[in-house]
Parts: sequence; structure tokens; C-alpha cells
Amino acid sequence: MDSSPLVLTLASIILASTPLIIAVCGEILTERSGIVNLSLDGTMLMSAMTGFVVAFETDNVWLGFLGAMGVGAFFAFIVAFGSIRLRQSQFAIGFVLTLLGDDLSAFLGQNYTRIPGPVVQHYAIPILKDIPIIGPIFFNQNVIVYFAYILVFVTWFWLFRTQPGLRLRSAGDRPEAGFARGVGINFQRYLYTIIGGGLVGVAGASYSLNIKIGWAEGLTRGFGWIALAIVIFGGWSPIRGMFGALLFGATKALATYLQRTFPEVSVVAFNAIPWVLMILVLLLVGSDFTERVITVAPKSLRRPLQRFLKISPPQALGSTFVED
Amino acid sequence: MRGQRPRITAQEIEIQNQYMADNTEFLPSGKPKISTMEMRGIVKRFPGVLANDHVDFDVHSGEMHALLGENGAGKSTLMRVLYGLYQAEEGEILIDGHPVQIESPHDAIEAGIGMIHQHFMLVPTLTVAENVALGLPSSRGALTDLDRVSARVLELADLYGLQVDPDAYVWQLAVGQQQRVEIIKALYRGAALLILDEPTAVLTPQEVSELFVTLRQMMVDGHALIFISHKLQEVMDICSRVTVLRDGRVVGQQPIDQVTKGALARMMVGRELQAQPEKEEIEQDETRLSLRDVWADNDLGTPGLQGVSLDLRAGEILGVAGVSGNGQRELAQAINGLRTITKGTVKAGGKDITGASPAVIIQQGVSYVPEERMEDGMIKEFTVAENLILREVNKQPFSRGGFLNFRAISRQSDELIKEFNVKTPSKDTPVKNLSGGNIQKLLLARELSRKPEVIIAAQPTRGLDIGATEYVHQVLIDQRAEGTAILLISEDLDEILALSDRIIVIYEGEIMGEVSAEKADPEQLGLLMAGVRSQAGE
Ligand SMILES: Nc1ncnc2c1ncn2[C@@H]1O[C@H](COP(=O)(O)OP(=O)(O)OP(=O)(O)O)[C@@H](O)[C@H]1O
Ligand SMILES: [Mg+2]
Repeated sequence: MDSSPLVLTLASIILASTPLIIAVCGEILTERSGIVNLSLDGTMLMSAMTGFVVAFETDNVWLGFLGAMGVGAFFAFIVAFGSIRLRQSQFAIGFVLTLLGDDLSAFLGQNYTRIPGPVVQHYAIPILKDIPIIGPIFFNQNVIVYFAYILVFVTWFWLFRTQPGLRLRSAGDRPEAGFARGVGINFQRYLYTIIGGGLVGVAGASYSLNIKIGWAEGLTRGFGWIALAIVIFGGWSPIRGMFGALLFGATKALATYLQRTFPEVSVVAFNAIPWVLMILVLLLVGSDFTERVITVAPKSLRRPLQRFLKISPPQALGSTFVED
Repeated sequence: MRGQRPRITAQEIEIQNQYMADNTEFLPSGKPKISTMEMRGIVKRFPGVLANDHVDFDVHSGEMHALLGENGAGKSTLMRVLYGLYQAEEGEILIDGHPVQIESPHDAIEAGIGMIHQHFMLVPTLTVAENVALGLPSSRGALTDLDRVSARVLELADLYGLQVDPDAYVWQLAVGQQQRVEIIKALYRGAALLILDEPTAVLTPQEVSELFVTLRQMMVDGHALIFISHKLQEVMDICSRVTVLRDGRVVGQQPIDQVTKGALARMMVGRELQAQPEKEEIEQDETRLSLRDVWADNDLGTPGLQGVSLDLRAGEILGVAGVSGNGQRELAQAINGLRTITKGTVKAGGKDITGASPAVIIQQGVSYVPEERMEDGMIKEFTVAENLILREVNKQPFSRGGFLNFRAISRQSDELIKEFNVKTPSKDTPVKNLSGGNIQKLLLARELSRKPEVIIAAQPTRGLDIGATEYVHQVLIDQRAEGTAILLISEDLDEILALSDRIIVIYEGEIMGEVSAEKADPEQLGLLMAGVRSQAGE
């Protein structure tokens, strides 16, 4: 029963969504502080490449992750520095970095393509792995997967249950108010852009060291944009973001399945399924329908429901803050 | 809670301990008082303006010191220097006789200074308790201690009569409640000196008197308070001393019992004020604007206007009185095409403009002076000159064949700036750098220079100094004399009574009743504003 196709599929969906979950958490931290790091796609390619190369040369996956984290943090630093210090458009910088990361990773990684290297070892959690169904799906994975789930929780907790989390949110929602309360807005923004970038780096490396093992030009192309879309889809909340990433993974798996069943239909049609679904859900959440659901819900449920369904971006997202 | 002030010496701690014993130098919150704060020779320049020119200002524990001055006189700037938001180029700040360096709001807070800003500084997406806790150390290290914060908030609320729900989100609160949160925030943080920058501008009379109860209590307890307002009566009522600024300089400082309202006004404006302008009789026949059973939603998605009908005739001023948040904003926006009308019709000059775009409505000769100057009225990154022609960019003589005629624009701006007495370094200054009151003047200049058929004026004098208020009133009366139809939406009952020909009262999105200006008495209007319908027969 443990290796039934369904269980295996679910386990593979979980595995495949981990990099997205990690990247989404990173970007949520960044955007909640008021900065958009649009360079995710390029950053992920760069860090996937770096992660693999470092791991290959040192024969140590963890050093690979460390290197990838450094690259991610550095790209993010450029975004933060460019927008805060040089007052340039975050979007322009991010976009340029996306293109740069794509080309640079192809160039620097050209001697390392399609060769085997170290990978993250499988690690089943004792006891938990033996729980029927749940065990094999969730606890028969590897450390990166566990890290992703812990990260979701930690990010959520940090944002909504801690004092530094309040400061972080004030920077993204109403920086003047935070500043008047003694919060160093630009410090917050540097900090969380860099941390977020580091996490995106980890996400990139978990492709080359864990999922699509090895390096090839354009290995992770497209996933950065997907992560950015999931951040919006998830309404800047790590928990909803996680569900978004899982939903994305599940529809992708469904698409693959359908494709095998109906070989006569074009591949493109199936590949579009996750996107169409995402747009539909966003439309639904933004429509009157949701309002009505909220108004008919029992009173005690209304507030949490509203908080869950109502999506609004950090109000000061993408704007520069000038301290006198 | 010692160590509140920077560079505290062992000797001072000794002294404080002594005071702790007889408890005279401490506030009920347990924080030390600031017995004197002095600013000496403060100079602050902005490109093209000397906002503060060697200003001396001081305040003592247990008093409320008023800071008066016209729009752009430099009041907010001086206070922002004290609160560490701006750095002064010259001058020093002394607390209890010791010079202090205030380089950021953080330093100011450490020194026991709190500020209620002209525009509130709350994070709308956080709860009241979270806003209070923001930026403070928590008793649980990195974890929030919102339960303790809430308990303390309730305690302070009790002490000073400030009712708030610590768990409510700030975006859900009315303006008056948000202000209470601001005060609690400052008290929570142990502010011994509180700066209040135009705290009453957005409050209803009822809320103002509640605020004053709180402030009096704070004074008795030994807080030092600085109060900025354009309403002289308030200053006379509650302050003990007054300092008047003009063009960045102190032009007078006096105990309140040695001045009169007239004298203060003269000091501020530098001239005598005129008596209330006289309205002439004029014919009011042609209906310029008519609303029939208009419904519209507010921002929360519930009906903010519930079947409003009204007729506005040429040459009359129709006053819309009401307590803030009863649909005034929705009414103005619905007429001007900025809010979807869910039911009913709006006609201007006989033409149906229900659901029309703002561009079409502007062409129908409707001018709009919005309540939210920055959001609905101005593009804050644009210059003064650009904003002045914003509504007429496509028209002669400002535009020929799609190109802007800069000479004509520049001439027009110079004229308007002069005529409306807008204080700005130049016409090429971005609007965001102007003082609150001057932005309002600019907006009026633009809207009134178009010779409109209908004017929708929402809170046209909010935040304006007395000179400018007088001027705006005169302009509205002149427009009326020329046959313009004016809808005056205001929460200031005195303004409504002084200007209107007819008065309607709006309550929860409905028109409660109409009275002619001659028959109106404030008491009856007050009842209608509170939602009590007039007795049968009246
Ligand atoms: N950040 C800024 N940059 C440039 N000029 C500024 C800035 N802040 C204020 N000023 C200018 O300094 C002068 C004083 O402005 P301030 O806001 O202190 O006036 P105020 O007395 O508070 O007026 P109001 O009653 O309208 O609020 C004005 O001429 C204003 O244009
Ligand atoms: Mg001001």
C-alpha cells in the first residue's frame, strides 16, 4: 500500500514543489518589507548553477547550498542597493538581473553541463515515516523538503507573531508610520531582501542538487516567474503560498497524467492548466462571490474568513522611502 | 523605567531616585516628566524656502503651548525637527537644561517626546495593539506580547478616557478613533512631551471636546503639550501660552490671558481680518445638478449612499451638513464619476451623467474640490504649474495640436499663484513639498479658475489658516454671485451656516431633512446630524 501509485505521485508532488515553496517564502519576506525582487528567474538559474558547481568541486552538497545562498543574497543585494541607495526602479533592476542571470549562468556553467555530481541524500524520519499514507508522503523525503515545511511555519510565525515581524510589515505597508516609530525602514528592506534572496538561492540549488539533478543551460528557467506568481496568488502569506505551490505541483502532475492519457491533444494545452486554474482562483477571490460567502458565514467565522480570502499586497510595495 | 533620556549620569539617577520617593517628578505612567524643553535658534532650509528662521520655542511640564501660523509658516517643520524627522541646520534642543541630540524619531522617543502627526502614522493592516507594540522591545524578547500590550492599552485608555478596542484593525477605525490610538501609542511609550499637529482638523465637535478632556487630564498629570491648530477658539479654550510663526520666524509669544482672538489673527496674517462676507440676493431658478434616488457603495462594500435626491440651482449654495463618515465622501465621488452609482440618476445641466467618466463630467462644467487632496486632486510628483493645468491639458491655450504651450502655462500659473496667495518656492516645485494648506489653495485655484457651472466643494477649508479660509469663503460667495451652483459639503457647522442658502443634513447615507439658512438653528441641525428626525409638522 505504501508504494501505491497515488502515494508515490503525492510524494513526488511534495518533492517537486519544495523549491517553489522555499523561493515563495523568500520573496514573501522581501515583498512584505516593500521591495519587489523581480530577478527571481535569473537568480534561481545563477544559484542552481553555482550550487551544482560548488558541490561538484568540493564534493559536498551543503557547501553547494551555501554558495547558492550567497549568490542569491548578492543578486538581492543589488536590487536593494539599486532601489534604496541609487533610487532606481526596482522593476528595471530586477528585470535586467533576470536576463543577466540567464546568460551568465549559461556562460559560467558551460563546462559543467550534463555531468553527474553530488545530490541531497534521502532521509526518512524514523517513527513518523511509518504512519500509514502520511508517512510515505511527507516523511520519507529528504532534508530539503523538511526544511521547506519548517521554513513555511517559521516565516509565518516571524511575520505574524514576533516583534521583528511587526517592524518588517510596517516597512512594507506604511513606511512613514514605521519610521515615525523608530523603525529603520531601509535597514529592514536591505535585511529582508538579502535574506529573501538567500532563500531563493537555496531554492535554485535544490533543483540542481535535488530535483533536476545536475546542471544544464536554462535548467530552472520559468520557475522564478512561477514563484513570483505564487506570491501574488498566495496573497503574500507563506501558508497560502505553500498551498499555491502545492496546487501548482498537483495540476502539473495532473497535466502530465492527462497528456499520457490523451496523446492526441497538444502538450501546450496541458501545460497551460496550472496557469488557467490560478487565474480562475484569483478571479474568484476578487469577485463579489467571495464577499457574499463572507456575509453569509457565521459571525465568528467572518473575520478569519475575510483575512484568508481577502488579498491585498503590501501597500508600499515597490515604492522608495526617503529618510530625511 | 530609567534610562529614558540619552547620556544619563549617575548623579541624575540619584536625583531621580530621590524624586521617585516623593513622586513629584513622575507621570502616572511611571515615566519621568520633562519639566522644560527648549529649542534655541532653530534654522531649517528647504530648497528655495527658509522654513524655520532662528526659531526659539519652549514648553513646560503641565502646560499646553500653542503654535500658530498661516499655512506654510513652518509649524510642522519645527515640530518635525523636534521629533527627529528633520535635522536642523542650526540651533539646539535642551531637555531639562541639558542639550540633546535628536537625530531620528528613535532618539526623540528615548528622550520622552511623542508626536501626533497631521497625517496619522498608523499601519492600517495592523491591529491597534500591534501598532502600539510596533518598534518597541517586547517583554518576551523576539516574540510579541500583545496580550500584555492590550492590557496596558486598556489601562491607559481608562486613565485618560480614550476608548479603543486593542484587537480592531486600524483600517476599520473612524478618524477620531485612530487619533485615540495615536495618543495611546505616545502615552504607552512614556511620552512626557506630546506634540499635537492639527489634531482637531479632522474631528467632529463632539470628538474635539472628548479630546480636550483627555488633554486637560494629561496636563494636570504633568505632561508638556504642544498644540497646533488653525482654530483660534480652541487655542483660547485650552492653551496657556501661544507662539505665532510667520514665514518661519517667531512674531509673538504671549500668555493666553494677554491676547484676544483678533490680536492673534492679526499677528498671524499681518493684517486685519474682514467681517463675514455679505451675500447678495440673486435669482435662483435654473437647476444645474439633480440627483434622484442615488445609491453607491462605500469602501467596505456596504451601501454608503442610500437613495439620495437633491436639486442644486444656479446661484445658490447648498450646504450638506453631517458628522464625518456619513456618506459625504461617497456623495462627492459619485457625482464626479469617481465612485460607481449602483442605482439612481445624476443629471448636470440637463444631461444624464450617471456612470459617465470624470472627463465627461468635467466637460459638463462640474468642478470638484475633493476632500482627499493628495489622492483625488493632485499628482504629487508633478510641479505646481503642471497640476494647475491638469484638468485642461487638452484645451487652448495650454495645448496646441497636442503640444503643450509652456508660455501660456507659465503665465497662467504665475497669475493663479499670486491671486490665491499660494506659498511655494516656485511654480516648478513638486506639489508634495508644499504645506498642507497650500496644496488646498492650489487645488481651489485650479478648480475655480475654470469658470465652472457647478462646484462640488468637499471640506474646502479643512486645514486652511484663517486668512485662507476667509479667502475661500469670499471666492465661493463671488462664484455664487456669478450664478454658479455650489454644493458645499462640510463638517464645520459654522461654515455651513455662514455660507449656505439651504442646508441638508446627511446621516448614514440618507438625507435627514432640509432647512433654509435663515431658519436653521445649530441645535436642530445637531439633532438631525445625530440621526434624530425632526418632529412631525416641522
Ligand atoms: N520636505 C520638504 N521639502 C521641501 N519643502 C518643504 C518640505 N516640507 C515643508 N516644506 C516647505 O516648508 C514650508 C513650511 O512648511 P510646513 O509644513 O512646516 O508648514 P505649516 O506651518 O505646517 O503649514 P500648514 O498649516 O499648511 O500645515 C513650506 O513653504 C513648505 O513648502
Ligand atoms: Mg503643517
